[in-house]
Amino acid sequence: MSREAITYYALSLPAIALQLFFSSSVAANPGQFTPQVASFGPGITELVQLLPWGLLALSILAVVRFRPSALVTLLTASFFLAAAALGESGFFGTALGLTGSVSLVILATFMALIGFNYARAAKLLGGRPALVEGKGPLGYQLLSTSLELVLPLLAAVALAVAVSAIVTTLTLQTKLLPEPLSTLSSLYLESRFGLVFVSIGVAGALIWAMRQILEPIIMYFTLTYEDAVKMALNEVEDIAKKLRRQARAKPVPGWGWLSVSIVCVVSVSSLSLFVVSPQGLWDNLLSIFGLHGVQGAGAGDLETTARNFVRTIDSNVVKGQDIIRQVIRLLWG
Amino acid sequence: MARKYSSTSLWAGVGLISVSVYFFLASVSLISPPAQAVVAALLSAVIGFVTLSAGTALIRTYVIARTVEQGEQAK
Repeated sequence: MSREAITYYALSLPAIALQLFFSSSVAANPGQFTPQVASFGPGITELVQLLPWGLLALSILAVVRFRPSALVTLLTASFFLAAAALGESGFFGTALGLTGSVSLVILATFMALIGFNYARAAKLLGGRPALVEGKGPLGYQLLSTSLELVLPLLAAVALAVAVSAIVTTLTLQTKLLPEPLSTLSSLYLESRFGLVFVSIGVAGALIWAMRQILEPIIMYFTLTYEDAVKMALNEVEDIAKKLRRQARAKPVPGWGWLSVSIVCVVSVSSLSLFVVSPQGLWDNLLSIFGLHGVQGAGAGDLETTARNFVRTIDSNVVKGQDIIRQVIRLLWG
Repeated sequence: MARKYSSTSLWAGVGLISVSVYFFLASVSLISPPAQAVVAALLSAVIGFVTLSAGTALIRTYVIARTVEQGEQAK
């Protein structure tokens, strides 16, 4: 077995180990399944216990068949299955929290993706030894290894830690916002969906910032003349297209702007009416002319309004779910 | 042949990235106790992202122009 293949298997191992951990947690704690899973009956419990092992077997197959995307997908599916079955009471409730599990999944994913780089090399070589063209000083070799292996790993760890820290800080800071934003954002972050979307958003912003800084540095050392000409022409082409579009555009009477303005005014008025109540809005308008005293709503009123707003959305979502269920029932008979 | 690219854009880009780092740090300090300026911190982070984007775009353009120039001189 070549050195590249050994590195590939070593880097894929954390993903497999993590899936093994999820599978054994689900298999060992059938009594701690969430009520949603348990409500389907006794048959589904056995199925949920068996399914992670099936996913694990498919993951091992994905490693052997050099399928990185399949391995990452199966790892994510295994995590969601374990989280849905056990909730936060099983392995999440002990030493490993939900955030810690997510960080481990991200880390294992990054390692698996780095590993497939070596898998490609092993496949290309086909058992032949790699021809190293030059051997520099030890410092350069260390730098090369660092850029190839250590830097992506460090980036993955830093990303996981940063996402966890930022999400925790945001959750704490939402309490400082004025009402009703405080209640709305707290309720949003308390929900699983809110937490997932915020984590994805923060991770996306951090990856974007990393890419923005790394891209010019990599370009400086690797960009060839032909590629640079293509990129320069692309930039000029974008500007030229914009100018041509502007030159072709006929003067319009301005109905578009009027429609946008009307939509904005209606939206702001509706929001004001909803948050302040018509009477409060009327009092505010009158106070501009000195006709009536302002009777502002207190923080408690705004909090109640925010909670009512969330309840209304919840009830609408439940109604939507009922409709979807009805449609599915109609379709399936 | 006169150079068509200038190192000014490179240094302006580096300067903008430094400014963005300053705004990112400011956004962190604005929400660290005892400060409680959440909205100002968010605004600071947005300014940081905008200046980072502008700085890296300048450096990217500089790198492209430099590579093209060197390629033309080599021909």
